[in-house]
Amino acid sequence: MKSENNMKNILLAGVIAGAISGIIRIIGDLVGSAIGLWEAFKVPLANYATIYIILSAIWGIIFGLIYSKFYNLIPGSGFLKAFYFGLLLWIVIRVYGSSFLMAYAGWRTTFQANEIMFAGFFEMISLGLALGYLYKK
Amino acid sequence: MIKNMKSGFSAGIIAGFVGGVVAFILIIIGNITGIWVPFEGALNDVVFLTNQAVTHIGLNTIWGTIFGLIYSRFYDLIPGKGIWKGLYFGLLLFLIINISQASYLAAFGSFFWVIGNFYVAFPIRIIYGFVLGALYEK
Repeated sequence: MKSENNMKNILLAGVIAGAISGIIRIIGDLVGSAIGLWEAFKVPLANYATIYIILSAIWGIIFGLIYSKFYNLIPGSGFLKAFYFGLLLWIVIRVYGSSFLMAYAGWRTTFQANEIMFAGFFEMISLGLALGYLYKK
Repeated sequence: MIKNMKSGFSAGIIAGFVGGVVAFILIIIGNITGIWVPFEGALNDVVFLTNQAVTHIGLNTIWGTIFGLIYSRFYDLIPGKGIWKGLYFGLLLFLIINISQASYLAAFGSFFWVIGNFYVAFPIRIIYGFVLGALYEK
């Protein structure tokens, strides 16, 4: 019974944290394009936002399950543990992706790498913090 | 602890290097066979091919080292033993990096790069995991 509640808890925490991170990413994208760090969206904002938030909520479940599985081995406690998890996701997913785009060194890929790296930072840190706030083992 | 980290570090470098070589070979094969051609006419351009080799082998070696350190940190909670443990880790990387990336690319219609994610990334994650699992033991 306890593990069933725990499972529901992490699935719900993952969906909510994922959706929050998707919203933060879109805000980051808009701010970055407004100040000229990268290009503005090519697709209508409403479409982009809907797709991004839904996908982020789905991936939030998977990241939430990973968070709960590796919880005890993530360093720190409370706020710091959640922050470290978000930071780890940012490095493994976003910095990794950006490094390959930057290596091609075209202006378009560099712009895109900036967006993934900087907007992705706020996205992943917010995901970690929201998971940490919503999920307690 | 230090010994384990070093071992994860060294195993990661070797596994990443092997993964990078495989990535470069797959790009060449993709160009020759037409399975996946990201850059037209690339096979006749020595500078381009050199850039590709350096990019893929260099970056995969660097990232392989970082992933090797993460592997040694989370080793106890990864299912399986030996090579299987490494393969599970490689699949986990494929899920969180490549499947997640491919899902966003597909949603926005960039199917060409979705294919690239599967054609290049899946084999290198499997090979990376295999080599890491074979070399690293806590």
